[in-house]
Amino acid sequence: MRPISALLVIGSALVAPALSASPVAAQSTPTIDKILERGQVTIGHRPSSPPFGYVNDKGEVVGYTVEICRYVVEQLKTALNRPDLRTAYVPADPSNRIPLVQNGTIDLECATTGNTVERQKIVAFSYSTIFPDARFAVRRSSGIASVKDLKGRSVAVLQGTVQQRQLTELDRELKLGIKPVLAKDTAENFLLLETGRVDAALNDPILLSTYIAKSRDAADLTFVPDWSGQPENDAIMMAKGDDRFRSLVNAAIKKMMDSGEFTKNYEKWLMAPPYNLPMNEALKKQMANPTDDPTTL
Amino acid sequence: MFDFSFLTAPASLSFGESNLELILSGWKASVLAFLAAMALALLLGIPVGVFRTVPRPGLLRRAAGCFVELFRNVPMLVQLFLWFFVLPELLPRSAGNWLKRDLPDPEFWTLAAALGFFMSARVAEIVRAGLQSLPRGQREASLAIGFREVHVYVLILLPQVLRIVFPPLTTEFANCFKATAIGLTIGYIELTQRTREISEQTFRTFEIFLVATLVYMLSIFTITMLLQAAERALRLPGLAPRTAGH
Amino acid sequence: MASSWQVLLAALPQLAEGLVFSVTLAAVSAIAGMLVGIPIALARISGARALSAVAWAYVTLFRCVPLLLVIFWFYLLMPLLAQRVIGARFPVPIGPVYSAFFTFMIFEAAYYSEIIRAGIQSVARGQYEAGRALCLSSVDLYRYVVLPQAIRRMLPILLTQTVILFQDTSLVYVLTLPDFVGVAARLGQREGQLPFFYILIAVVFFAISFALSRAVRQLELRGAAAAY
Repeated sequence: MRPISALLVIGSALVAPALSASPVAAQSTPTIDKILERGQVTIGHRPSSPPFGYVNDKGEVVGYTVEICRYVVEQLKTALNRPDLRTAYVPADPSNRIPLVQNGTIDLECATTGNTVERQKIVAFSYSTIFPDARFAVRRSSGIASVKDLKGRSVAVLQGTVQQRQLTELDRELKLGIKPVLAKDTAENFLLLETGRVDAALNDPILLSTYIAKSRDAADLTFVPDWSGQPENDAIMMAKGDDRFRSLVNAAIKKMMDSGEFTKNYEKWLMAPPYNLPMNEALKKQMANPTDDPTTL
Repeated sequence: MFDFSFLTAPASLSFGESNLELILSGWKASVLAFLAAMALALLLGIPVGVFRTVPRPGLLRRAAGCFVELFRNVPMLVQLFLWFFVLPELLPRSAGNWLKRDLPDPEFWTLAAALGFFMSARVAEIVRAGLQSLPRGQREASLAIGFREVHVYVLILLPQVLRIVFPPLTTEFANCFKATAIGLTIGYIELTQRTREISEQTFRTFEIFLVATLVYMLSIFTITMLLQAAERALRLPGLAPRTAGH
Repeated sequence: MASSWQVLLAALPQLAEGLVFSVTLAAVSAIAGMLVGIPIALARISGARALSAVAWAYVTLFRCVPLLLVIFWFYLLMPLLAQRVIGARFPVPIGPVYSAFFTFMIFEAAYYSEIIRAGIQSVARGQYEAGRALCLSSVDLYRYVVLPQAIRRMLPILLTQTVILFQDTSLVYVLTLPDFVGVAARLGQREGQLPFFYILIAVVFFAISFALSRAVRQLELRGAAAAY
């Protein structure tokens, strides 16, 4: 390889990103400006995570968080005086959702994304919309009855999630020697358990229940009873640096909560079988006094 | 403007390794999968390529032809999914469970097998083209002086062919290294997967992708240079390697 | 397997849409990739050193990195790059579909340009010299003498590369697009029939690729015959 040419290649590889790496000029409301200019709000959704978000038989994007975002978009139309705003949907999985919000592809990321202090350094979050914990789904026949029984076993976990961190920490704390197997989305996470590739799947129990209910082996699948992860503050994720946009979104959620629409939406998705899950204390408290502070739980 | 300091910082999802060490461990995983897959590809591809040129049409030649068409015409990613998600379900329960559970490092071996078979079809085609580029007289002369068919291949034809196929084979070695990236779709943690992980954890998407690109380029340059050196060392005077192929 | 066939019947429209998406992606990026590949090839064989070095760097860069990495690169970083290039006030949202088309066009252009370059360079020197001797302008020389011969030689290889491109479109699966593999994976997971759906798409991919490669082979044989 001719060294000069090789240098040239490396040089050009360096130049391309350098072109764009300079910080974005300070804008007060970049997200709103973009939405107004394009006449479009882009919702990021996670296609395989019912009941929070999925694509139904008719090919429509629906789900608990998606409906909240649609309500928010309706409110934005009023607040921005632009009834003609269109809504576009872009699929995003846990491993690419943050870059897609950062790079402006997604305006509102509507799934189950945990609001954490660390993530707040680079993205913004709305008021929390649900507070799920994490549980291990296992097969009864595997003999795993306690979190201690996971010693040396393989566990499927979603890449790039708070749960991945929780698993690492649990593993360190109890010295279990767990082998993590990374999955792209909830469907794959569950598939790894169902096909016997892993001994356990760690995820939001609401999501796992959806898949367990549909599985042919439903009777053999259960949750490890003696462990659940620290509940997350799941919220709508937005690009950082547009406080006006964030307060509009928060105002919309507040209005949804106050008007009873929020409860109606909750009941529609989560009080239905197979979940039959009454609102937990954290969410009730959130409805009375909404917050986007990740440290409240 | 650029900040590469995250490279030496401890990675958040590891046991004290830095992000740079994570990248290197991803690179090592890519290299291992590449070596295993390429070994399998040569082991399978050379005989299959030879069988495709046997003079009498028969079962062997047809089987080799089917093998090549099968593994060449299905996308690599789909083949990988067949090995990983489908094969264990089609096998008897015990064998399927062994593949999924007892096989150490199932992601690694599945990737190596899938990639090895995929690449072997390409290796076979290169070997076949090489064999067909040799003058027919060589074979006829060898047979005339009493060589058996097997010996014609092993002693006369293959030593020449394996030299002249070096340039196209070098391209396939490079392709194979790049192709290890699809391992991420079955949870094999290689270089591209590590890159995404670190980008997700540190939010330094530009910098980490740049590092990964350079690591891939250096790896491909190294593979190319090593094979070119090997070609020069093994070259026979009078046999021009560049004329191989079509 | 009766239930599999019922599931398949219900899934057919979505699978067909997925296949159409993949075929469109391959066809559009093949044509666009060749169009972008031509100037790169010409730049590489032009006498100008800087120009050919840039073209060489382009080709080498894309031939050294996995397509999957490039797919992620473009999807995550294009909006910021586009913002700088057109001087927009905020990152330009490109979206996964356009990003996929763009990635394949740029990536495949590197491969197509090499095939085009080899095709042009395979035309014997004497042809150029004869053309010059007849006082043909550069444009006419390429148009009437060099390109007709070069195209005949590179066409089968361009088409073979396009078959590979068609297979490679399966990789957009990682962007969760409604492509053929993505649709099959989603339906298979939903219906609990993943093996069935994966075998199905493998058969369809095989049938299309095999038929195309056969057609290319026929073309090659006809071309070889015509050369005599």
